[in-house]
Amino acid sequence: MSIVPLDLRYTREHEWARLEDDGRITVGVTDYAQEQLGDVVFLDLPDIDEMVEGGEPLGEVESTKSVSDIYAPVTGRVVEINTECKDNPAAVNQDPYGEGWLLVIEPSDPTEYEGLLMAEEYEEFLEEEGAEGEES
Amino acid sequence: MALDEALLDRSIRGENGSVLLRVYRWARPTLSIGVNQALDAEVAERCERRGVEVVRRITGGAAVYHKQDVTYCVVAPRAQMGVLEAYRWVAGGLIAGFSALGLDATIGQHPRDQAGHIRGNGRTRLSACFATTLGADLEVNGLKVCGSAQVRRKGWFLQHGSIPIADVRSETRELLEHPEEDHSSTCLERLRPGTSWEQVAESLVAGFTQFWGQPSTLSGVDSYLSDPPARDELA
Repeated sequence: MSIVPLDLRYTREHEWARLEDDGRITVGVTDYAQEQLGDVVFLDLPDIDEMVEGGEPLGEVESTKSVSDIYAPVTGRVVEINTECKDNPAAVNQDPYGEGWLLVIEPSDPTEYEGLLMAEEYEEFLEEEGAEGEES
Repeated sequence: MALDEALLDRSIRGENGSVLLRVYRWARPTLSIGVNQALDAEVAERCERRGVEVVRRITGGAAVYHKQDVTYCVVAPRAQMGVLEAYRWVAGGLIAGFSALGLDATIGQHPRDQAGHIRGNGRTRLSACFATTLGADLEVNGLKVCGSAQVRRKGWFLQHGSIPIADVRSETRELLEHPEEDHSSTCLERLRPGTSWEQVAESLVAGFTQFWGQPSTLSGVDSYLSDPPARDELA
């Protein structure tokens, strides 16, 4: 059963987003995604200051089973990259909502975040995909 | 493999809505490396000296030495399938294909920490695909006989796989200069002596068609056998 924290927002591509106090948005992949991917071995992430577009690929995550696009939850500028996670991609598996965060985006439109899936909606989406989520 | 990527791009652009299966062989012995694998200069030089081409796949995973193997590529809509479901779905067609050859193939059940991927220098280590078995691979008699790798883009996935006919384990080990011997894989020459490429290719197409002919959320099988493809470029 995958963990779905209540205080985050989600995409249908299995990324999570957290609105920080300063308006920036931290992004990672969900517990369900890391379970599906298997051991993550490589992360291809954008550079600082790069502009990313909501719903479009911003990088790739490679696991022992698959190479998958990572999609930007919102449009904006990349202001921070988790370089420790790049060096130790296993953190995505070990702690997807903590040490396994991937990057921080400064959103162009602060209201875009509100359009992302709530935890309950993401859980419903997981059920449609045949998986189950567990709120935390 | 450049053609495989073009097929995926075509599907993403909406120019093809059905499942594609491509089965092919290589004009020259070729080492295909995973999209993020580092290619050591020594390995590249060794390949060049021996007349072995090197290409980079768009799929992940480890290095595969294509010499007397059957390579397949499946392009399909992701539909509701996660990574594991997609592997199992493709495996259904593969297993039916092996069955047509009289071989009882099963999905590898090895734990995920047995993967041979160790990261270094910004890319993954140049390990050999057939030296490791993952839950996405197929085995016969407990030995790996088909290694596969996947890439997922915009609602579609592409899966590559290789089924060795001849035993190239020693050559692979020499090319990659691996210290460990590969005792975990096998080849059709050992399992079913005298098996030809044509027999395997035809069995795969029949197996995939049979499997995908069952009721499914995915409809239509567009398959064909191709001649050896044009030379691939090392991207």
